[in-house]
Amino acid sequence: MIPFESMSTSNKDPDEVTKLLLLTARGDEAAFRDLYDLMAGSVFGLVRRVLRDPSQSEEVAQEVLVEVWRLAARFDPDRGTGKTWILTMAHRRAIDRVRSAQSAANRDTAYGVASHEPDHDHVSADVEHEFEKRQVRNAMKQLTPIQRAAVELAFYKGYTHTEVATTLEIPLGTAKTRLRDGLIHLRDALGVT
Amino acid sequence: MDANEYDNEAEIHLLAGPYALDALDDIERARFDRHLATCEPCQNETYELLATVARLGEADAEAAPPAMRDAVLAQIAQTPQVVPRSQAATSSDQRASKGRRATRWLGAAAAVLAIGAIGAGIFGVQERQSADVLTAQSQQVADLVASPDTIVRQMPMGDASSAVVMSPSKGQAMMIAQGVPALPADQTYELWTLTADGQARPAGTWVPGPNGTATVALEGDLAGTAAVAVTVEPAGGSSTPSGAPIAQVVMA
Repeated sequence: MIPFESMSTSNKDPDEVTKLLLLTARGDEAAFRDLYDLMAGSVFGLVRRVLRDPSQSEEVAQEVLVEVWRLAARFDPDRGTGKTWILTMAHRRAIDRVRSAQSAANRDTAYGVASHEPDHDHVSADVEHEFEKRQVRNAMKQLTPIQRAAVELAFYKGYTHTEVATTLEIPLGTAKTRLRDGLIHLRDALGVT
Repeated sequence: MDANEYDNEAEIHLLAGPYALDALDDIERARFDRHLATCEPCQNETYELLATVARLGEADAEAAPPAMRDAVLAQIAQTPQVVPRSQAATSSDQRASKGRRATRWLGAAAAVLAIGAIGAGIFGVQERQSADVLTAQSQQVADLVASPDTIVRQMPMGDASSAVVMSPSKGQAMMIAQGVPALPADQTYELWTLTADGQARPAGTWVPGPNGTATVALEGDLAGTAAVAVTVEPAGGSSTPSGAPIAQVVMA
């Protein structure tokens, strides 16, 4: 079992993941092992949040982590942290899987489904991780209902902005704008720089 | 705000949000990638929004299945890494040049994605990971595409998607494929260039990556290439095709 304290590193040493990723890019397998231990929980959790199904999530998370090894040389620290690079890849793969597995019609079309709180069946004992979760939840609550709905449909459901617009019955331009200003609010609320 | 919906220049900056959330289709994504290459404010905003999205993701961390660790470590032990673009250190005094490199990289990725659009969507609209897949050789493909005589042809390959990009003047060609099934260890895929009189010349063996993708430069003399084909051969490859092609496309 991987301890939770190793997963939520955003408030600790933000450079550790980046450093390990740069070492991984040079073929350092030991560095990759450490990187795995820091990031596997976040990758798996994110993929599972999107895909729900545990075995599919494990498959995709595994693919992502192998891709992290394979493509590590592609990481450019000037464009963001190692953590962002890895989780961006994880999110994209999860969304790709959702989109190829289901047509939009098969997805939950009612917005209500997406607005539920995360239904994790595990109990995290780690205080810091709980803190991080609460921060995100609180930041989400500060959004307007439309902003929040748009961000949640895109992030957790893999909706394109066109689908977001259709589902929320708002013009496409508004959907784009809400996705952007929603994220900007979250960025400021979470203190992302 | 909605008044700008059809005003491309004003509207494109709005795409940073949907882009960071993976909520764009391929064509818009390529368009925004091209825009990013030249718009520094959008670059900064996009990196910040990507970091924000990563924070949302982090909140969902949970313990990964223990068996996954061994599986991943076993797999990486036999997975070759892409070649680093530069072995250069990442000290801050090199930031400027790295920034320029990043910009070129974005341009190259955009060029590659543009091929997708030209080729009526080489990989189809759903196959968004083509962007990641292609960036390894994106500079090479982009250089090839920049050649005025370049031909891009889709090459149906069973359920897989593939395309061949060829520049006769440069004497270079590449095959890009996605969704290619893995083969047993004793077999390999092999590329062939076919002359107008039907002669098949070996153009290199290849196997797809772990996610079923491949970007392969064709080997050998391309002069007189009228078609490109792929066969399945015994490991190590053959000097003449041993079976019917699983894919072929006329390049003339």
